[in-house]
This record gives sequence, structure tokens and C-alpha cells, in this order.
Amino acid sequence: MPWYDYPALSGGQPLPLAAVRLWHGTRSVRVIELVDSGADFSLFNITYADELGLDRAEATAGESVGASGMPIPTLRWPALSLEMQFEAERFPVRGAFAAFPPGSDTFSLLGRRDFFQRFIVQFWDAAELMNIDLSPDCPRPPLSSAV
Amino acid sequence: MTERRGVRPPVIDRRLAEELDNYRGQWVAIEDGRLVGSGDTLSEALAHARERSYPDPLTFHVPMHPERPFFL
Repeated sequence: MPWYDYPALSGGQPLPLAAVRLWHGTRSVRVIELVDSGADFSLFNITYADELGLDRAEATAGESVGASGMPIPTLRWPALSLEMQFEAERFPVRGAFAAFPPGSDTFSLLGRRDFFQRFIVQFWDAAELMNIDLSPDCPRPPLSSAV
Repeated sequence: MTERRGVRPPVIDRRLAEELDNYRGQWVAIEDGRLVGSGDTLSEALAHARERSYPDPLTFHVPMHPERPFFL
């Protein structure tokens, strides 16, 4: 898999955002998420669970902790087969879903216990690039090709 | 941003990022780098895109304050 350019939102710093697809059975939704090596596991906005047809009443409730130190209520569906797909790779979701406060600027996150278990991720912030690969021997683009 | 050899373009390019500036705090649907739906909720953005014959768009919640640094 190749290197990926960081996008930058208007007025913001470039962010390592990646597109993945979440699967529950035959239902799926495509999501742009922040690749976050600091996140223990992937964390998705709860509205994606709704879109996938997951019943909140059947979820297992838990808590996570954000950078602020404040607890974040989470929901998981450990008995269900939830999967994530990046490029051609499809694998189980080990993360959770959270109801982010209205008006908050919180990203869904690709974290270590699922996404980073599957891929080797390199951040090259100076070039605003990240490499997401199944193996460590992917050829790197020559620096001279950067424009 | 000029495309770099051997590098996938960003999921949100500069032109789209400028357009998304008008959608801060909203959910958006994106297909082939173009905005195809928006709304206050994910389901509204998806419905908007599907009405326009984009059944399976990428989705994203646009930050209200992208200029602020993120510590997640």
C-alpha cells in the first residue's frame, strides 16, 4: 500500500485522516477517521452504530478516558461481528462507539488494538505523509519527487 | 495540492477543504472528492447524498474549529 497525503482542513494543520468502511453483516458505512497511535483502540461516533443497525439497548456499556482525563461513556457489541475495511483488508473491530457531546470537535479514531494490529503505520509529518502497510518493506517514494 | 508520485492524494483535497469551511459543525457526504450531501446529522447527510444518486458516500463530521490543535 502506498503513502498517503495528509489533508488539511481550512485554517487547520494537516491531519492524518484515512477512509475506512465499517461493516455489520451486509450493512456498511464509509467513514473518514483520524489515524491515532495514541488511542488504545478505535473509537467511532455512535451515529455510525445507528447507521449499521446496531441496537443501543443490546450494547455493553463501558468507559474510556480522553486526553482531557475525563471519562467517555462507550458502547460495544462484543457478541456481534463488526468489521473494518481499509483498502482491501477487512478485519474485526476491537474498538467502541461513543456519543460525542453536541458541538464538540471530536474525531472518530483509528487506534492500536485493531487498526494498528493490522498495519504498520509510519507518520512522516515533515512531508505531511503517512505510510499504512501490511509489511515494513514497502518502497518509499523518493524525496526528490515531492513538489 | 499537487499530487506526488507514489503517494495517494488526501481523502480531503484543498478545494474540498475550502468548501467544507462552509459546513463547520455539520455532517457531510463525499464522493470522488466532491461534496454530495450535508446535514445536521449523519443520517441527514446520507439521505441527501442518496437523493442525489450517491448511495455509498464517504462521511465526515466537519470540526467547528479546525484551526485549533487537537490533543486526542
